[in-house]
Amino acid sequence: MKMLLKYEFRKSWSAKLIALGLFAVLEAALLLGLLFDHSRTVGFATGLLVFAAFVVPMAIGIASVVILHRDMNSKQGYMLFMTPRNCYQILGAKVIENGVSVLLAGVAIALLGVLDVTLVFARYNLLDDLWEQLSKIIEAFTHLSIDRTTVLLFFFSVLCSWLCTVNIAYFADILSSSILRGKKFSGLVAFIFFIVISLLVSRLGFFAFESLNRKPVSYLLADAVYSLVCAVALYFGAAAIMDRNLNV
Amino acid sequence: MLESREVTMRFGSTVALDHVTLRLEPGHIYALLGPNGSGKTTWMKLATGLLHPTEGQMLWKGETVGMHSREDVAYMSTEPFFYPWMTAKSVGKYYEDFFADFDPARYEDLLRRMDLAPGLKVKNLSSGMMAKMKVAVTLARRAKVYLLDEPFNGIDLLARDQIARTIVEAADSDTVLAMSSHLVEEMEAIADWAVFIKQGRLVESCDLETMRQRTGLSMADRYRQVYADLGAGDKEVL
Repeated sequence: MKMLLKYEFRKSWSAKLIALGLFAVLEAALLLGLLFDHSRTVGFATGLLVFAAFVVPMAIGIASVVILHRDMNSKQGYMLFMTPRNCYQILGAKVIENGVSVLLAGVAIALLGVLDVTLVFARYNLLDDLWEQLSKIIEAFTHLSIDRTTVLLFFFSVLCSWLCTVNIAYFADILSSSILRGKKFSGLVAFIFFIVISLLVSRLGFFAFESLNRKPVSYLLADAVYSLVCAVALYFGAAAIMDRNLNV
Repeated sequence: MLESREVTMRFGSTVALDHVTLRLEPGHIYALLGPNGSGKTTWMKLATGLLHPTEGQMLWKGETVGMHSREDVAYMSTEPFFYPWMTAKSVGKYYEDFFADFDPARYEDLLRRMDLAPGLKVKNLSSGMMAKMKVAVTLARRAKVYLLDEPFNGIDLLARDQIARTIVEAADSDTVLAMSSHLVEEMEAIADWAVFIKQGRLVESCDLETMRQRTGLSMADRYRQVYADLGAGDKEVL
């Protein structure tokens, strides 16, 4: 598993380098804007950084599905599937790589965001305002009894939902690359499958935990567990299909 | 032993292999023969576990091939399959990471003998260099089974001789070595067993010496005889 993970990280490295390069350019633009007091550049760079913060994690997810698709549909797949590893390990390494990558990207983006906000406020001598706003937010959270556990649970729940979505995408791609391989519209069928299962999972979760939405901790915990169960079920289903219908 | 029992492989309506029963024993070098589309590559991929038979069983030491058999089976496909970001050195590292039987010193030696620098990038290799590297990394494994699909493809005469020597070196009394090639005469110099596959069916699996004595034909002539009824366009280049 260790080796599979090592090469999964290596395979996705170029996509991550592009993301890193994009952030570096935008960050440089922001810092230069702050240094030379060029508000348009600061505004432009901030806007793009916020946009990139949302897009990059999604791009990491899409890149991992593209890598899986390539492994299943090109001769490069021999490198992976001729190793003495089973499909559960192979897919497991892909899921873990994706989860870890998104988690690290999320943490890095959050830290960068905190740093940038602090820099911008400091540059325009608004740090006092920032602390004031933060205090108000914290106070509001305290008032709403949103404690550290709730915040952590929220991020955990987001990560679990992400893993569930990635597993739906893997399942759809494996379906099109194995059972539906060579059939007309297999890509379209896989895409429709992805949309339908995503909606189904999300709707079922919504109805199942609707009664808990006044209790944030219970709701978030139930949602995280539900997403994880769905992710695990999809992972086993996808690996079983891959195992029985491998055709590289 | 590596064995296929009544193996049938269908791709949609196409039957690539039709009830093929074949046993490959250690200590032999097998020449898998047949025109394009006869099922040689499919048989090798089934033996590696890259495909699953529609019917029948593919067995290694009496067990269905899969994750564990891949520890013993070294497969070399005819197409390039390395990741484009790799170098000759990192290809070796990849094999070392995954295969306990990989011998890095032997790989280095084979790279040197084939004039391939470790720093060469896979994406910059010519087809001949790629073919040599595939052979080097596959034969650097101390595997129990070698399955080489078209190892002489795209290689000049001198390099071909070198590869033929390396293949013979890799073969011993504990090893099953099977290869396919369009170059039947080159194969005849190496192999001691011939397997003729025609349109997905096994025609004959025979000891070459016995076959020569029985028919008075060389492997190449026997090949011409077996596939005589196929159209000229379907015949291999001898």
